[in-house]
Amino acid sequence: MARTDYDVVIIGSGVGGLTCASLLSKEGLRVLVLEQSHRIGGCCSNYDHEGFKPDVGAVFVIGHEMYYKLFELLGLRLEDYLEYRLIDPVYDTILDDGTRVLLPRDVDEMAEVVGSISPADVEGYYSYCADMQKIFDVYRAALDVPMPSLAEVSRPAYLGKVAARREQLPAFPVNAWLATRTLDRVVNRYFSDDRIRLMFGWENLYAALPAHRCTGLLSNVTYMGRMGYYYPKGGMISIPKALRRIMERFGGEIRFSTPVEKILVRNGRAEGVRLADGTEISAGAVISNAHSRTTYLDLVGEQHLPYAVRRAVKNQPCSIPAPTFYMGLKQKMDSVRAHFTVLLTERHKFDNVWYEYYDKGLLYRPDDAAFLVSCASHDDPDLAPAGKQVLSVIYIAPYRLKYHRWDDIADEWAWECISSLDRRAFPGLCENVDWMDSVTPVELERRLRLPEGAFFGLEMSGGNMGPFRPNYRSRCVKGLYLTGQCTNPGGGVPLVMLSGIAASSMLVNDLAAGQT
Amino acid sequence: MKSSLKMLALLLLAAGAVGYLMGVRLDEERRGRVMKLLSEAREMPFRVFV
Repeated sequence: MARTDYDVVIIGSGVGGLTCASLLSKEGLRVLVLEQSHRIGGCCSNYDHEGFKPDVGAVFVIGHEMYYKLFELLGLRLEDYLEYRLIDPVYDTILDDGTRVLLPRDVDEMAEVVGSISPADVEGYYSYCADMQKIFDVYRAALDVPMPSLAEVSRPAYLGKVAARREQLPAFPVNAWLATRTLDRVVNRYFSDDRIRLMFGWENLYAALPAHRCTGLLSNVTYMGRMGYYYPKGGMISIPKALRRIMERFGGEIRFSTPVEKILVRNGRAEGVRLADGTEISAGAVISNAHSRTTYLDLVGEQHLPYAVRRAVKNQPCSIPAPTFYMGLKQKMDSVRAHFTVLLTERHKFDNVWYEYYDKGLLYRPDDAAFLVSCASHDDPDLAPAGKQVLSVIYIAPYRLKYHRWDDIADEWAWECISSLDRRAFPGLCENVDWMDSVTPVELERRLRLPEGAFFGLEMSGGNMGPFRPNYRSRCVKGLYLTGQCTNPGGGVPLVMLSGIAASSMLVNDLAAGQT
Repeated sequence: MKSSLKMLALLLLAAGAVGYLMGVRLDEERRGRVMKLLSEAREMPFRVFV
């Protein structure tokens, strides 16, 4: 085989790309990561504006057992690279009728909160917890299986061993029931009060789908809050930074502000990349951490794709964007009582957002909007200048607006939302804003090169999962691998890590078999 | 054979008519959902090649 500049070139320094980079560097391969921007992390990163450091994209660590599995594969101790803090209370929740409650992590304390809003739902809550615990036990048991070598991770023998655990049996009926229902139906079965239903049903937004299109399996995300949401010291960017340190320790390289213009494809095979400045870098294999649409249509080029692939990539629906505005506050506010504050509307309005506004390209009144407010400096004061505070406010809005252009209304819209937050949750907020940055879906697309600002890559509905989601090993370009939220199992840091492990494992096996 | 083919065609025609009538009666929101599901089902076979 001809000598190449690198064994593997990885496009993008998101969590998926860096997971691959660290694992493959450890395997002794010559790895180069190319990042288009000057920041590491992609959708798990942060901004730094005069000491205000809000998270970009991912805002907390959930399912951190997966992180341990990655470090097990790397042969390293997670504690040597990352320091977590438990987020408790999990949410400060504000309902439409003015009810404001801190949701604790503890199951029994949470039952008291449920009882204070709807006493009739306490029994349903315990039944919900019992069922979700069964699923959680399966997840834990699967992760208890010791990690084999990287090459073996994607082999049927190991996957079979994980799947055939005895712990699966008690959870099978619950899992089957959840898998065949939508989230709203699941939540409705356990709870009768609309406010409680909303409290247990809104987190489907982390999967970027409305509850009526979302699999019931996601109902355990809310339960995982009871098991613990964590926040790393230094913010979410600490995760990609840790992976970068590991990669460099094993000899991998990274270049910033180096956008890739094309993946070089000859005779149906990826042979390297061409940078925006015209430099060509040859490689035995290319891993793309970019969106599948960017990878195939822009980087590979339509001329190298068969009709079916072109059509699938063009028509596969993107996830919803997660537009955000960031605020640096002049001084800390006592009304910010938890790391996360959730403002929910009346349930009917919340569901209607999809049909009446989102699908039609309209913006709702900010007073009718739901917001997730994350205060990074609540658990790590170093993420804001002394005595100040930093907030990220995430909301739902469509990429295409029917009557406006996002660039024309970005700041005006953000200030309307800030006024609403001032009235509904944080009195005095408007006067307290020192710095504000409104990142609309269009701006997200520009800054992170995300088609349609799709923060979760592709939609995570049934028709876009499993065999219908882009494969780790490209089926039409040899030597090209994909990782990140556009591959299985989807968006979210631990899931993207899993995708990185799977893609790396396949690549290592292909290299061993001389297939790439 | 011929009569069973005729019967099959008739059944398909009747199913189509019933489906059409049900579709016409759906409100805009539900119709939108059904159309989205149908278009998803049409595209799914292509996705396995990516």
